Parts: sequence; structure tokens; C-alpha cells
Amino acid sequence: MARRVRSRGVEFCKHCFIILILFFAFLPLYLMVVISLKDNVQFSQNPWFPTAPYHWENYVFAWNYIGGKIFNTAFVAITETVLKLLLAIVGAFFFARFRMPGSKALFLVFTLLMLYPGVANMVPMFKLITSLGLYNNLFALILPAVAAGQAFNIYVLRNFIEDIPQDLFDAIEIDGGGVIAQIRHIVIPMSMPIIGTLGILSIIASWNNFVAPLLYIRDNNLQVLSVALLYLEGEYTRNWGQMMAGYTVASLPLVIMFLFCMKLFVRGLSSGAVKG
Amino acid sequence: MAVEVSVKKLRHYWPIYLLIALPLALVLIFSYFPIYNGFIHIFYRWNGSNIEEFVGLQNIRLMLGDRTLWHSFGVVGLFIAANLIKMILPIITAVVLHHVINDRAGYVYRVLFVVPMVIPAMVAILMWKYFYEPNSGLFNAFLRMAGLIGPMESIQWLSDRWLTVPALIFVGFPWVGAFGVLIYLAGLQSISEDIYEAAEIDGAGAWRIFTNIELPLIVTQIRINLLLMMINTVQAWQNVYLYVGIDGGPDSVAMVPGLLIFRDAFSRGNFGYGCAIGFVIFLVTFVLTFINNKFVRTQK
Repeated sequence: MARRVRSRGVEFCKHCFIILILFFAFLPLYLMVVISLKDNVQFSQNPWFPTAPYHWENYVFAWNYIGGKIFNTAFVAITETVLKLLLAIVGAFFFARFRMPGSKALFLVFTLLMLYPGVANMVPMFKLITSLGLYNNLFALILPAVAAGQAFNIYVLRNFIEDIPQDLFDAIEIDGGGVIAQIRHIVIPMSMPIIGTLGILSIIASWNNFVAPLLYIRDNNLQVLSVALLYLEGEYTRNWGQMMAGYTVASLPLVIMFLFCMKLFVRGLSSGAVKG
Repeated sequence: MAVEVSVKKLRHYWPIYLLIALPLALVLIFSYFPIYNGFIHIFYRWNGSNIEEFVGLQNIRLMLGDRTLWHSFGVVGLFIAANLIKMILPIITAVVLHHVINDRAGYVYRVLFVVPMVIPAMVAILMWKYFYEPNSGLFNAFLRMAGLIGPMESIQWLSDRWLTVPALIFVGFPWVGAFGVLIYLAGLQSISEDIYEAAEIDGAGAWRIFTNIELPLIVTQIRINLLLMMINTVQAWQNVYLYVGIDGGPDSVAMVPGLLIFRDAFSRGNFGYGCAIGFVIFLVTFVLTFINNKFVRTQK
């Protein structure tokens, strides 16, 4: 990227601008961590900077309250993502590799759904979930999300699978491999980059889902993070340190995941996701 | 190349349909059935359980006279206008980031821009709620420290009739979701070195290069983001609910259509009316998508 060499002053301004933007973007996170180690007295005296003594016990409280919810959230996010992508890969393979009678109409059945806003379905979906007996069951969060994800994921994956060279499929067919073998040994390995990107997007979306758990989950021990964080504020007289410790603990799993697949993240988001 | 299967060969090939059976079944149950059920119940007085009575066009008549509903679409229009302005800073950021000469610094910046994106949305919302909190919130603490308001004074950011909507618009400053920045950056990085050199030789300044070379190359991404932004804004209600409550703030100044569905259906038991508003939201997003496809067509 080394390009035209401009004056150092211009270069300095660019860095200042970006650092200023980053400063504001990180301000909430900085304050969250700083306040998470304070008690209410320290907080009201100085919310800006760390002050001793550090109240690590805030994190013990936060973990006791939030810990179980992390497992619920992770269970939902992972199950949802695996099911969603597995079905979408098989579905996209169908549309990319075969022109069956009715293929076009079927494809429309999926893609038309991208036009339908989820919020318009809020009321009848609630009715459906309760009629199916899924109320207060984590699958009430998983199944509708798997269904709702099919349209977009099939659409993106189909474009990707269509570009896989025919020779690879021919080779497998000569070896007597059927459809399952083709998906396992060609489609999935070849589309791994896009699967990674779609998977990350799915996990983030699931982690952030707030409406479904608010509507469908009643028991506290089944609740997921997004709704549980709300009650951190409500049930106790406001202890800011404990609240912020809870927010920090809730943020950690995704940040850790991000640190492990940073390359995938930065590259995937900047190229793959929008090309479809 | 796809395998062509004619109707005659179906006898051998029909099991291929099984590939699509499961996704299709899920979509029919969890997408199409609720859409159908919601549409039917536009014409019903319905509370989700024991009351289910055909009332014809009564819900639609109610909607036409519902001042809050009309107001809520006005609020959405305002939010869309504000979000349009908020799209500028990510574009500028991406262009500046693209021009950072030091490769290493550029990569570090890009990574840093992603971090706020992986913070759960609820955590970001709750942090901003704390910023606006009247007694110990960040903004009032800052104003007191700067001496702009008295030590005992506090500004009611989220419960003042005139401040609520501006406060909601300001949330998330500096509005650089990594998503937007990184997508623009990908577009910019496809510009080859030769073009820059040619522009240099022609004596084009930084501004000319931006408007004549860089902007046209990210126009597709801007259009996609524009459409997504509009559709999302029409649908969004969770943030308003979390910041100012189920009534959309004082006198429902910040009420949005989605929140109206939530309130009327789940707190007042008007499921039929909720379905009717849902259908209107669908129509609005449909028209927006249509306009976008018609007038701001993206070229492949």
C-alpha cells in the first residue's frame, strides 16, 4: 500500500483523525472496565480513572449471576449456527448443482423471504411458538432463527458453490461418490472461507438477539445474556461496579472468539460477505 | 455447470428433492405460516387465545385514526434522515484508513475497529443508558465538572420531551460500525496503483482523487449500506424500548412502529391490531426496496 509520499504533517493528521475516532469508539469499553472495579463511593467520586482498592469481588458477583447465562447463550448460538449453515449448504448445493423441474419457483420461495421484515411477524410468531409448545424452551430461539437464516445463506452460498469447478464433482462421481460425498469432500472444504464468515455473522446475531428471549423465555435459569443483563440493574439497588462487571463478563466470550479468529474476521468481513 | 433434469428423468432423480426438503419445511412452518396467519388476523379482534372474532376492516379504520401510529412513522423518517448523515463519518474514516501509508499501523487500526463490533449490542446500549443517566451518568458528570450546570443540577436526557429524540439519535457516536468501514475499505483496496499514478501525473489533488476515483468505486457498497440502513431503521424498536420504555418516552415522542406492535399486542392484548401494523411495516419496506432497485440500481 506504500503509495505517494506526502509530507509528514499530512500523515500525522491521518493518524490523529483515526485515533480520535477510535478513542470515542473505545470510550464506553474503557469506562466499563474501569467502573467494574469500583464500589459506589469510588464511582461517585471518580468514574473516569481506576482508583485503588480494586473490587475484584464485583466479578465474583457478576460470574455467579451471569455465568450460567453464558452457557445458555453459547448453546443457542452454536446450535443455531451449525443447523442453519448445514441446512443452507445442502439447500444451496441443490440450487447450484441441479436444474430440477420447479427449481426456479423453489428458489423464489426462499429468496422472496428476504423482503419480509421479521418485526412484521412478531405477533403470529409468538402464537406459533406457544401453539407448538416451545414456550420457555431454548429451541424457541433456535428454530425460527434457523428458518429465517435460510434465505440469505442459501442465496450467498449458491453463488459460491456455482463457481466450484465441474472437474472436482466429476472426479468424485467416477469414484462412485454420491451426493453426500460431494458435499462432504468438495462443497464444504471449498466454501470454507464463506462458511466461516457466515458462521461468525450468525453467532454475533444470535448473541445479540433480544426480542425472542424476552418473549419466549420465562425461567431465569434458562434465560440468555441479553435479557439477563437487563435484570442486573433492576433487582438490586444500583451497584454500578457490579453492573459493569456483569457487562464485562458478558462481552468476554465474543472478544476471546474474535482474538482467536481475527484473520477470518477482518478478511471475511471486508471481502466475502457482501459480494453475493 | 448444473445437472439438467427433465420431467421424464424425474423417476430416477426424484430423491434429489430430499436435499431441499428440510430447509423448505422449516421455512414453510416458521416463515410462511406466520405470514399467512398474521395476514388473516388483520381482520380479527384477537387476543392470542380465547377472543378471536371477525371484525372486517375495523383494525384498518383504527390505524387510520391512530395519531401515535402516524407519529411513529414520522419518527422513523427522522431517524432515517439522521442515519443518512451518520453514514458520512464511516466513509471518511475508511478513506483516511486507506491512505495510511504505514501498512502495519493500517492493519492494527482495522483490527481495532472490529473490536467494538463484537461487544454485545445489549452491553453497548446499557453503557449509553448509563451515559445518559441523570444523577451519576457520564454526560451530566462531565457537565458538572466543566461547571456548565450546577453541582446539584441534572439534565433529563431521556425523559425530557425535547431532548429524548436528539439523545436517541446521538447514541453510538462516532457511529463507525466496523461493518461499514471494512466494506468501504475493501472497495477502496481494489483501486490499482496505476490509477493513482496517472492521477498524480495529471496533477489531481486529494479532493479530485476522492470524488473522481474513490467515491465511484465504493458507490455500490454505499448503496447496499443505504438500503440495509433504511430497512433496519423501519424495523428497529428494541433500542427505543430499552432507552425510554414501552411507551416510547414522554408523550410517546420517540414511538416507532415496531414498538407499537410490541405494546399493543403484548401489553394490551390487541394481537389483531399488532398484525395490522406489522403488515403496514412490510408494505413500507417493500416500497423502499422497490424504489432502491428501480432508481439506485447497483451495477454488477
